[in-house]
Amino acid sequence: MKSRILAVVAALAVTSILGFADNPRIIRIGYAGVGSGNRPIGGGSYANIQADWAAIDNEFKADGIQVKHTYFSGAGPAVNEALANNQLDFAWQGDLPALVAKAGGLPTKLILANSRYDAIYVGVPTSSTAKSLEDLKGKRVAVFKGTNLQLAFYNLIAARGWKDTDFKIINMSTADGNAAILSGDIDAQVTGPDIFPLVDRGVARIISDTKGRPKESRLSHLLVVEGFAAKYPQIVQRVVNVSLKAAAWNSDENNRGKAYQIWTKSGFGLSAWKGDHDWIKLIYRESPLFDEFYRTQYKHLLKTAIDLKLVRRSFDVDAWLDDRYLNQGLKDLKLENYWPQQNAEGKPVR
Amino acid sequence: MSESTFVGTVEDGEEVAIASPERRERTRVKVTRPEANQARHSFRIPVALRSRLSIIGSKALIVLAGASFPALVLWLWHLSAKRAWVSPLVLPPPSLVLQSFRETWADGTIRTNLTVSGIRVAKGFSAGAGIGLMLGVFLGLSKFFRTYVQPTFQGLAQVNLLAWVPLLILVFGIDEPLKIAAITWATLLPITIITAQGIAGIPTKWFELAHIYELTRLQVLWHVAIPAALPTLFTAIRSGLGAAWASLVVVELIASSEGIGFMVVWGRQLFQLDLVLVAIVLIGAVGLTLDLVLKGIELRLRRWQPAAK
Repeated sequence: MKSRILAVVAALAVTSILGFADNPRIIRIGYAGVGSGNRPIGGGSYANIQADWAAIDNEFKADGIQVKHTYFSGAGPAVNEALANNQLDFAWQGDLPALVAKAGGLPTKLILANSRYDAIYVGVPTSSTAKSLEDLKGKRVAVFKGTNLQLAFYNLIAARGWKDTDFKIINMSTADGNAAILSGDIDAQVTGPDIFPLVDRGVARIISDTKGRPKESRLSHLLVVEGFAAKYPQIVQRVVNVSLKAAAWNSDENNRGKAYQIWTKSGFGLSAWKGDHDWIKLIYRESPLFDEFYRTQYKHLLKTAIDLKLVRRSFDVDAWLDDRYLNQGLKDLKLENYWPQQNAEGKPVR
Repeated sequence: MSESTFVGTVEDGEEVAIASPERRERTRVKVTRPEANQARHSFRIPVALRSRLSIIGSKALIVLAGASFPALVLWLWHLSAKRAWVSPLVLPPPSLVLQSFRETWADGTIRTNLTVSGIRVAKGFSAGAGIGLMLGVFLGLSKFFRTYVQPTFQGLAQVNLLAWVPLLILVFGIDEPLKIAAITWATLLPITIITAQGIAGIPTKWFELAHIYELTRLQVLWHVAIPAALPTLFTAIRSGLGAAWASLVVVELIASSEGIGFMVVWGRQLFQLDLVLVAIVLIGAVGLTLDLVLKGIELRLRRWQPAAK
């Protein structure tokens, strides 16, 4: 009897040393967005590159850990609901929903920057007489509220000294807004690169965008649920490392064409990605760093969201951006000096 | 009519409300009392008073019974929040909901949204009730139309408003007309169907009598059909208003930027479930109030009917 107990204890000790007992059965990853026609695939950042490679799935195949990817047409707000119901461990998400959830008490940590300089576009039907944002005052403008589009749009108009009440803002998902532009039910839509296919088809015209103005643009990130990270730190590290490989590949100008091709699997054609990315160096756009710009911009966005009463209370952004995995990953992959640091204004320091 | 009790003091030739415990409604009868009964008059007051008190008492009991269930739910909710049975992110504690109610009330959010929704319902409901009553009377009076059109209406009523929305958007766009049209449609269906049934249910003998008296069609409508169908008409209006209020939330979930239904969407998008709960409680409270008010009006209007049906 005693020997049997000893054997069990020994077996337990061995498995825990080897790490078997510390592995989850499944890793659940959420994506705040879908492709054209609700297809479960996206485009526009290295998050979609690693998904296309099935990088995380391959990383954990040998361990027998299943990886489940879920794409939410309800975007960031829907990701929050899934996080609150404990249905996700990781999420690729945009700025406003993550701020809202964190302030609401959702125990999350941001572990990688995903994209920045992420422009928003204000599109109008081709038939519209509007030539500038000014012409849209008092008109019906569709915005997917609760997503990072809303916050960026607010910053865009605030920079001109206007308020959101100067427009008749209608809450619509990206896809619904595209359709409403087509049917002429709205006067304008605030959206992302999905506007370019409409421009190609001759149904929409872009009258304003935030290209080159990082402070009026969007941020996104990879986040992890605190409980998961506390339980499986080594799993989190491996997810970060394979994601960093995708980020490095995506930041290489030699791969620009290939990255665009991968992103077209989302159903948004080449023109969307050329229009949205051609103007900026990928090494700035796809940087995973929590540098001065990323931190300052997140603090700025939190303050804006609080002023707009979208977020109830403030919290410590620096503590929320957990760069331990990022720094370890950069070291592991010898990428410490790969991405340039960007200053508070979004300009590369070197 | 057993155990009927007089309510209030009685004068000769005065109308008196009789409350019958079985019917839970009041009817008025004319009372004539011989002079000889005058002596008992003084003796009767305490009885009347006592019965009035007992009515107040039983009403209070009914209200208490009705309130006990929400109180139980509230207590369970409080307990669940306190013991953290459900994540506060999913079900915020009652205290937080109360706090957001106070905040949204103070900053005018609730009033603005209620006003917007109220105007939408008023427009949609009045259009729907007008058309519905006319259609219903028409269907009820004409056997021909009842045979050919009624089944279609019954069928349409089975289709949820949500299913109509894509079609309505194509016709009305996404602005106010869509919301008004959807509410009108939701109101119109129950009112038409119930009105038609009410009118059709009037005994044919009454119409035959009207025929003998050579009443015109309009006179038949005014003096026979409408008074006879009045209780049903009220049921129709009440369910119509209920449907209008319920459909409001559905239409405000779509392409909206204000209104009490939008508060639900907004709370969800912002991950503030307390705001969602505030909106839900408001929707329920306003709907209940509307129904109670209509019920009150109905009772008042139906009093003239001698022992209705």
